[in-house]
Amino acid sequence: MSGNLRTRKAHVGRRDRWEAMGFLLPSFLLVMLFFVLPVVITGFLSATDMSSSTGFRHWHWVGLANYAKILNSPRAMSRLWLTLQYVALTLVFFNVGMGLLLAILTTYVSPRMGTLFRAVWLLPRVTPTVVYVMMWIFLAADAPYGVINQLFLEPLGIAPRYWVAAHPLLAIVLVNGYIGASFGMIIFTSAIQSIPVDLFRAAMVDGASRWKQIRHVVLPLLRWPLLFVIVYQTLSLLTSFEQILILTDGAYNTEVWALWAYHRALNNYWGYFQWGFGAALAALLVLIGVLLSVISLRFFRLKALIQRPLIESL
Amino acid sequence: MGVAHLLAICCLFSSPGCASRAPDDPNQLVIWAFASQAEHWRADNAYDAWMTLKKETSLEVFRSMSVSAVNDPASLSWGDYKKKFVMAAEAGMGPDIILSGHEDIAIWAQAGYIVPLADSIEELTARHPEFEGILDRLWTACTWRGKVWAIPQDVECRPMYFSKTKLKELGWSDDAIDHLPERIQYGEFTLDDMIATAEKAVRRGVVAPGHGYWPRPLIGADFLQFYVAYGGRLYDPDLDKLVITEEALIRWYQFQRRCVTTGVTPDDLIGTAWRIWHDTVAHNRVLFWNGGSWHYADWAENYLSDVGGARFLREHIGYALIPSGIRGRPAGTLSHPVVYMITSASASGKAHQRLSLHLLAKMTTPALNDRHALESTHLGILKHQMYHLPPPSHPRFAMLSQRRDFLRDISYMLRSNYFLPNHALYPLYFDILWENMLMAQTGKTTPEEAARTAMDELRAELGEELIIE
Amino acid sequence: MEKLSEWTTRIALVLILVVVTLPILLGYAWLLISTFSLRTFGLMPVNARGELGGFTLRNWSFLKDPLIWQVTINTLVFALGITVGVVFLSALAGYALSRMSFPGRRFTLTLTLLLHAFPSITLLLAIYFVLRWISAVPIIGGLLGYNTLGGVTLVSTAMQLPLGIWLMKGFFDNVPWDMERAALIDGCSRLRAWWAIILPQIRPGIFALAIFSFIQGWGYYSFLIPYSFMIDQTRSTISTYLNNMISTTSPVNYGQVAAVGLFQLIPVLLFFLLAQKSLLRIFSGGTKGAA
Repeated sequence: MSGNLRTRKAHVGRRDRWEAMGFLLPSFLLVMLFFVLPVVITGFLSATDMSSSTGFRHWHWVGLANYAKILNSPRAMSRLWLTLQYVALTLVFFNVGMGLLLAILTTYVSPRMGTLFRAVWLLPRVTPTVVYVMMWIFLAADAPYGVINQLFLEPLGIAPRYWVAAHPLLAIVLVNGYIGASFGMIIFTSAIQSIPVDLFRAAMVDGASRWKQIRHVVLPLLRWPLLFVIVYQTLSLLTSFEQILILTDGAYNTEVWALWAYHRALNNYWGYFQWGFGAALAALLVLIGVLLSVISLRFFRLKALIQRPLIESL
Repeated sequence: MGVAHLLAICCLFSSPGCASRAPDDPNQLVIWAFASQAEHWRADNAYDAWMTLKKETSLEVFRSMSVSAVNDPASLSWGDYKKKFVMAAEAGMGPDIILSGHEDIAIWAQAGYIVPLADSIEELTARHPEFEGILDRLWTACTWRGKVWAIPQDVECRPMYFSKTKLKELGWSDDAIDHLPERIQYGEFTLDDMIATAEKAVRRGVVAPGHGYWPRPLIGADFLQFYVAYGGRLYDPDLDKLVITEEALIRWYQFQRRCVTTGVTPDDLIGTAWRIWHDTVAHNRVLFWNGGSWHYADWAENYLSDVGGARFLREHIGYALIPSGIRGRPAGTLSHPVVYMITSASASGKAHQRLSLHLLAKMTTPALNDRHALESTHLGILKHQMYHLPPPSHPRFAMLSQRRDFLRDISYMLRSNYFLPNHALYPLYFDILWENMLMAQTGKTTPEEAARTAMDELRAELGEELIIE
Repeated sequence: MEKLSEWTTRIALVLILVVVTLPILLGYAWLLISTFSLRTFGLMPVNARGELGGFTLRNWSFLKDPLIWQVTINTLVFALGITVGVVFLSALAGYALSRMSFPGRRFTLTLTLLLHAFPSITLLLAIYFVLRWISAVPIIGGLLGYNTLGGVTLVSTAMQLPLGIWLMKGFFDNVPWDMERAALIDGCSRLRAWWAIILPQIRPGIFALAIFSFIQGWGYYSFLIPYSFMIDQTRSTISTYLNNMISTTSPVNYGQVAAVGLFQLIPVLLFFLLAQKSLLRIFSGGTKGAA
């Protein structure tokens, strides 16, 4: 009987190997084409002087010269620091903090109210970026155009100004945060809703206050979604720049690393593209991203998350 | 509705769901232009020129050919439009004729995307006499390493605008106001005078604080005008090298900073939304500001239509060259001609280079060019347009007569204009000057320190290609 | 007494929600108002003299442009293409990662999450090279290469795959495997078991991922990727159509831009309100696994 099981298992194992490949093949192909290969190409590009004036034909290998140029740039350090601040602040206060707050609040108010607020928070995510950013520009605009100045500050007698220029870091955090929070909101709400009702009932019977329910029932069960959101959104934020591109285009010292790379390689005033240099910037960003996620995966013990496949215990 | 729009709609109905026309039809001559609606003739003039060409020549090749002129409204900026061209050219899907700023000549010539048109202007005009009408100095912008690479399409200038009514409030006589452009032209009214006047206006409450002088709110070559105003040189065409004049650089950065410290310009002006900037200057709330000549029509139509449009502008707003930074030195302005270039066979995937030049010759006629200049308030590229633009003949042009007055008024500026360098590394040169200017202007570093950093970066980035004065 | 305190807490909670949501509420109020105005001072529509007035309907005149309907259909096709692609491919891959044992499984899973660190956006140029190589392949090139709608759909699908695969794996982890095992022992093929037995059981999860992909495809992905890899962009998606109106060469009519933006919002918003219950199941898979 036991011997029979063992051969069966071995058989399944071998068959699994081939079948798994079949199941994974289409995704594998796409991932190779649009993730792995581009990273390799970017690596190669970063070792060339390819630019608008060399075209894709008359370029030269320059080794690590582009990386040296980044290190020697008087702006590299401040841009790296800015990027880290921006990612950390947005992540903590919005993508995780606000996301969690919204998930809990919308669960505890009436279902209809919850739906309404969730829908409202989804608006920034589905609005075309240009329109969404334009809305912030006019919220923060100087008098007489700005809404914030008109509604809140003028009545209080505070001098109006263009608030994006006054607090640029806060501005880019807010503009991105108000989009990013809804990702956490959806994930966390869905996780809370999948908590068995019995657990809440048991807590109620024990006379636990609402806060205690959250503290002892909800939060512990959110560990895994929290990890997921933190890792996923850290990477999203590191590489996101579209909103900043439209909001300030890097003015007021808001040129985060990803925007720097985009500006150099693909989008700038004169339409002069430094593909080699831009690729080096992008490659460093990939490196930072991989490092950060490896660290956080270690920290959160990824192994626990990757449970063994069910069928294996057949 | 332009022909291009009609065509677009026809295409739309004939090919539902298909988002791209056949880009590689070998019998189609394709022209790309980047233009606003007011500037649509940049592309659409090609259709009329094509008709002329077909009538005048009996060449068999024309029978099977057609023209497609694409005004690209989807690119967000010149930079993005150029990106699209570069990517298409590398894929061999580029157009046969590309419209762009003249500063792309050196870059695209080196990359092999465009071809030279002739070895000299004489050779070019001998082949196509239509080109003789073009203003002589515009050829400077179309020449690189001794060859002609492009045909001018239109040109503009970037005046210093000022509020006549605000000056009057400040106690200026009508006569003094009328003569301001002239005094600026001969270097009698300098940038220092401008700051002093603006300061006075702010102090007396004629304009709000920070509304004494507004530069362009965004990155742009306009700022180089102050470097030149302080005696800076950009380019040496004989050696084909970029030039930096250290003394002028320092004084330019000091000027930018002084605008902020004297309270005539807000320290956060650069980054202001265009909409807000235009609305403020057009409504006569600023004393001095820099804009483009093409802004004039925009203000009349899109910002002031309900307070009288062009009439409001005539009443309140004047324009002059950019004042010199050095007393007694004549003033100038930067012109940035937009030019047509002909692409190489590898970039377009076709061999229509000779035919393209034929077509460009027919597009360089007074009739087609006047029409464009008037509708878009760009300056014409032709000699006759310096002295008179024809009266608007078409009833649709009746509203354009005020624009004609404006164009006539500023056409003298084309005698004191200069151009950006036709050098492949110019964008790098500009970026360094720009980033350090921002540091100086916002007070992150002193102007002198910013100039020093800029010099270091220029040396490192440009090496042999830079002359230091 | 208890009822009362229940009520006050509820009101307090709603108040907190309103406060944190205020920027969005004000912002969209401004958007809506500006679509009916020539210009605005704060939330007030004004005429050129700065007095209340300047109401107009002309910002909505783009609805008469046949092109807007064409690009709406294109955007729909694009977003649906992405949705189908993402759901189908990640259902396949997610199943293998959840159910099958093969060498490199753990590595594949980690890598899938790490893929997100590869900034698709900054790799645009490299992706351009890949698309051009695809273009060079006969037949396929014309469908999926550079400057094809198929190509941009494919790229956008790939961008969403890592998330899709992870979520799908979570759903599969949650399904008991008794029925499937019985079927397999009976000699049913893996593919058949996947299609006929398991997929129906995770229908809510599939629906949730589909909604999420659609929303992302309709909004986020319909801009930068078509914008970068299509030559004739005006006629590709609503987002690129919008560019017509905000290009730096033209005077920007913000009211009109806002109107197109709201127009693009409407279908997604309706969709969300109808389907939010399903969307909120997006993560119910993963929780049990870790609990």
